[in-house]
Amino acid sequence: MHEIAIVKDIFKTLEQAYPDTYKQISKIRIQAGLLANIQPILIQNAFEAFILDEVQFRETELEVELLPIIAHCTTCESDFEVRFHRFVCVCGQPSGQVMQGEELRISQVIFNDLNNIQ
Amino acid sequence: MKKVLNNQVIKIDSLPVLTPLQHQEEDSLVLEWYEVNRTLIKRETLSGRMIHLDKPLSAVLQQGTVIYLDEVCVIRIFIKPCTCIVLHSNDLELVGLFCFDVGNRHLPIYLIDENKIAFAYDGQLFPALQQKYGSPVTLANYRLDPSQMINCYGNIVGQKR
Repeated sequence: MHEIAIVKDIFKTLEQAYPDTYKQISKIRIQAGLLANIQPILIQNAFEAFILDEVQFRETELEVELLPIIAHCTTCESDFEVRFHRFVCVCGQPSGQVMQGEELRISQVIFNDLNNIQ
Repeated sequence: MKKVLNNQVIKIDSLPVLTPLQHQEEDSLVLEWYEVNRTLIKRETLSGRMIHLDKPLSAVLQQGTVIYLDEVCVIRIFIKPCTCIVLHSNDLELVGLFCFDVGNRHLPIYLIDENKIAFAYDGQLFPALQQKYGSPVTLANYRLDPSQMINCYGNIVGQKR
């Protein structure tokens, strides 16, 4: 429901980071964790609405990568992927210590001149 | 670095109306379920063909949709299955309440079969829905295809054709 604001924030952040070149951006990749309360379909739809107004970004792509939930097991000191919302390590111990899954970040920006800035 | 097949880009701005023949090589453009509404997709196919898809607004990308064909190959959409929150119930009131809760979050809902509706897994939403609706709410892997999407005014695929 706040996805339009997120998309605008992404472009504002990129404008601040690359004031001279941000209009040359061809692709933006963002990573969203499955616990981030971010809906990828709503981000994509918000982006499509955004470029209707901001036509200079008509040739820009926005790709969303969903990050799986990774938790840490303090019993066997290993990280494990939470599948089907099962916060249980392969050793059998439950753990809710989330290492990955709550983040939303710009992971990659590609410019038209093919210079890749990460 | 992976080499693009034939070192050429296939530009697509309309979907083919011809039916593929039997002898063409099958190739797939792999999409996540939430990418089917994207208007611009620049990506390699499974076989390494570089695609620039500038999708017409009226086109709906479904599993198996042919986006390109020539004498050599036919390229179809492949939508990756994903983990889904599923409600399995014959109780229409329960289904209605569930759809209301999910719809309030502006999320698309898919009719998997007669008694089963699903939408993409969300780590915050799943425990809340399971607490509210109990055992009819489970998790399973499904392919969320636009042809199964429930829409207030009829299925979206039906509208656009």
